[in-house]
Amino acid sequence: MLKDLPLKIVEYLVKEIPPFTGLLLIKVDGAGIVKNWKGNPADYLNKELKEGGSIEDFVPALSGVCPFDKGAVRLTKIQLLDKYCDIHAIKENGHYWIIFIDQTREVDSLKSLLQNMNEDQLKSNKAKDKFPFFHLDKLNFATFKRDKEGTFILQPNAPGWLLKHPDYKSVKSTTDPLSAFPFLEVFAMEVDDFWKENRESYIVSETWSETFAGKDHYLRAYAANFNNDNYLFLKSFIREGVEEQNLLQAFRDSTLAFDKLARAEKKLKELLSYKNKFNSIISHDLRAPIAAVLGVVNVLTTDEEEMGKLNEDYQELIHGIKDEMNRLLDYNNKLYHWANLELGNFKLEFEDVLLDEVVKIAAETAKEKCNEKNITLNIDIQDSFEVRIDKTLFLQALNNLLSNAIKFTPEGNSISVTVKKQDNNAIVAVADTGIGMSERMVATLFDESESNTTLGTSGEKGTGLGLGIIKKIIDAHKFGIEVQSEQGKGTTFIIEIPESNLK
Amino acid sequence: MIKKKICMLGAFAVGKTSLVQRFVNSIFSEKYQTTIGVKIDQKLVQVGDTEVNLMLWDIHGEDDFQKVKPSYIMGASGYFVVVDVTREQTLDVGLSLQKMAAQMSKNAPFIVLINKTDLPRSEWYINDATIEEIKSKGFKVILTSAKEGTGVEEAFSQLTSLMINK
Ligand SMILES: Nc1nc2c(ncn2[C@@H]2O[C@H](COP(=O)(O)OP(=O)(O)OP(=O)(O)O)[C@@H](O)[C@H]2O)c(=O)[nH]1
Ligand SMILES: [Mg+2]
Repeated sequence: MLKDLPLKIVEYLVKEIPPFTGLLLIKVDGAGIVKNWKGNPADYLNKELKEGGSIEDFVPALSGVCPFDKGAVRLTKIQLLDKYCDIHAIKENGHYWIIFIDQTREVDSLKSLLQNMNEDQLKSNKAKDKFPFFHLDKLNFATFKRDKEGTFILQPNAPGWLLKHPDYKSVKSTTDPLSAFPFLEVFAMEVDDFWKENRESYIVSETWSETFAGKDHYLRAYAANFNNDNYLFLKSFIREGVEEQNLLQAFRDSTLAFDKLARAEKKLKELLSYKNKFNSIISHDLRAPIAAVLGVVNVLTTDEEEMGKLNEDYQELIHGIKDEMNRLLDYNNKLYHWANLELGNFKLEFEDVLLDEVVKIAAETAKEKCNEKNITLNIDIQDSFEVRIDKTLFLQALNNLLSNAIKFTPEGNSISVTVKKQDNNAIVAVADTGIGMSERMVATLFDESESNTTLGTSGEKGTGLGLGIIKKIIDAHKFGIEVQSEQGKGTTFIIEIPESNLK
Repeated sequence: MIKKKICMLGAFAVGKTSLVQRFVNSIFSEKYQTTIGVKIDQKLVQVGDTEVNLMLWDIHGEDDFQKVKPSYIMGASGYFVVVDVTREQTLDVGLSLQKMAAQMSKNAPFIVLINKTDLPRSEWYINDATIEEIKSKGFKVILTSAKEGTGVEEAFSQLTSLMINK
């Protein structure tokens, strides 16, 4: 819940000890119109909360209070449905967040306090005048009054938690709270001037914690002046579940977990980058020797006289070497491109070109392979576009798409490339009439962790890198790519060039 | 007997509470329970002939939601700046808290503790070069592990003698 809230609001919520419970937050604009909310409105409201409605309609207690431009709003102990709640409004970035906090438990404990006070008053009308803070122990307050020497004396009635402290075993204990609770040394210094002034008001300390009698206590001190006397109150917040509900703890736990993940991710990226660098260097260095061997083989196979001297088995062997070396070179080239794309070692160099021309170049490149498999290549240019692309890379993607299509199209079938306009975008669709793909395969097609290499219809081997290269190039252009496939019918890859890249 | 106040300063979850608990009660807990406000522990130590009562102010960690109040440092005779060796950003937080502390108590000695050094070196974000850089500011640095106890006694006794001999 905290993640989506503005920092200022989270700050407001997490600092509270004991933590706020039963939170509902409603964001409204300056006029009190509901924008959105977090938490469950049904806990406090009997009407379904709607965006655009006025907050006063949903929370009548707020009518007359909105707009909140008079400053911070804090309504306490408001009864909504079967609950009591406090309502705070905080200004944040031109809007207001209205925070509902469940106070039902507090109100329940106050009820018995009020009951006690009233009964006492019935017994003796003067009880209240004698000592104004007589009942504060019921709210877990310990009361100390400063005497003429400046020592703080414990006043009746002492709350149960204090009587468990080793220095206050007896109600008559005269230990100075400043020595029993060293934290108060700083607080006493801070409020010294306030006490001297004797202005009727109070100051609250920060929270601190103490462990005694086997329990952790959260404590807060209040310095107060009343009737020309200085008082020091200590309140204990020991309450079950404080730790579990502590938003600050939750927030820090998740921050730590997130940091850990981020560190792991960084490490992994480093490792991957090493791997890609390695691939890039190796494939670059392998290129020359492969090309050299291919060169020799090419010389051999084109020399009819020399070839004629060899028997058929040897001739076949040499053609086999040529094919395998060609494949190795292709694989190596792809690996090189892929590793460099992964490394981000490329910058797009955009130029304005005619899309039909690029498609025609790719078709020309694919022609030879089509002929080998007796595949008809249909080019259907329905609309003509001038596009902003990196021509070399885009062409590389198209070439890869086409050789894929050829690979999966049976001999004698056809492939079509269509260029057309669709919803103001330009579309290049490469459709084969091949074996198609299963839904699962379509879903994980661009997922590099899946190895999706499949033999082609004539047993062509793949590198498994082709699609990765296509995706990287299309992504780098910020274009879209989509796959439609039906098993046994064929596959269509659709590249979508957005309007912003059309001239 | 003299009383001396020592503050633990640092980002959240760097191990301030763990270091105090290791030093005072010889215990360590893997469970992270963030400190709310301040927790004060005491320990009697012997420095030469003098007995010193150390008041250890374990202060809540600093982040966007909880800023350490300068007044906490009032009257401190010395302080530790604790850093988590696996979390880079805790060094910046520590150093900025040190600046604040130096303003509050001008000449109080302090030591930078690089904590959690029991964790594998591959997870360290604060490396030797960074440690040298901190030392070059004239800061004293000790590598600690609240988990294994490494450097903890040393840290407290060195700070105490710096405070006493001042
Ligand atoms: N491995 C290892 N873990 C440690 C060490 N010191 C502390 N931890 C762990 O780090 C987490 C945080 O320790 P704490 O001592 O609570 O940290 P803190 O600085 O007091 O945190 P805040 O009170 O939130 O500011 C806990 O899970 C500890 O178990 C250490 O030396 N080594
Ligand atoms: Mg702590």
